[in-house]
Amino acid sequence: MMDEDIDKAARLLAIIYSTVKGDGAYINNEPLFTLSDCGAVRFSAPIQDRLNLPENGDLIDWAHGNIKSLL
Amino acid sequence: MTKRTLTLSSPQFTLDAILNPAIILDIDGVYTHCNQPYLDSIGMSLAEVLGRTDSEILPAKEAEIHNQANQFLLSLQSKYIAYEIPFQEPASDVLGMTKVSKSVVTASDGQITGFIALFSLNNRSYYLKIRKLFNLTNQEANVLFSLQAGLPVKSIARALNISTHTVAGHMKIIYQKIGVKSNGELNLKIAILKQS
Repeated sequence: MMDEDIDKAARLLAIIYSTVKGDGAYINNEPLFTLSDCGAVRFSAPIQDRLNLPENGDLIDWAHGNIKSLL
Repeated sequence: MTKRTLTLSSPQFTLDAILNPAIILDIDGVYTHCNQPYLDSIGMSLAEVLGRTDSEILPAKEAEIHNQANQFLLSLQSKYIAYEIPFQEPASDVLGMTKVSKSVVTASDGQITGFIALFSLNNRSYYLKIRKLFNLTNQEANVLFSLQAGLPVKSIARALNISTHTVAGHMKIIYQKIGVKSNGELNLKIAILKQS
């Protein structure tokens, strides 16, 4: 993993962990994300909501493109 | 229509999927999770790490840097920070720098509840590669990496507790081993190797 990827990976992991731990949205083991037949990533609503925040504007595209290889 | 889903069963599961060293700390800096690459990097077991803080398991200077980063994040100046920590090869005196990227974990109300950090091993691998490729001694590697870090000869001599003449002697041998005749050539060759 390149250094610039590590920055974004740490931020994305923090969002995922914050969502899972802090929001209680995953008590029923809701998937973190799903893949369509064409391979497109769809994050769960709580994670997508956090990614949509203005502060994560530079992260959202990276998250969709790299979550599969990250996890 | 979907064909695959990923469910997070535990934070440990998430960290175990990551190849780089990774840790999760609570707001007091206590380790709650870490992966095997992190344990390998510090040479400790999970039982020795969980429930402890950086100050309890890492060298004092290294722990201080991590603690300063935590304090910076707790001051709400930013939700993430990237910084470097020095590393020392086990059983040698070769120094290098490892990048750390740390982000805050927050509750639904935005309150900080902890930290997640990922560590880069790229620099460490690069240093080891260069040292092995050119058969550098530990001291020659120290001089080379200090030069690469931009330290002047006097500072290198002071840091390594040797004379400036000895530093110059190491530089001459480094040039010979790497096959260059000037610092400019050296930097160019190292930069090319770093990209490869």
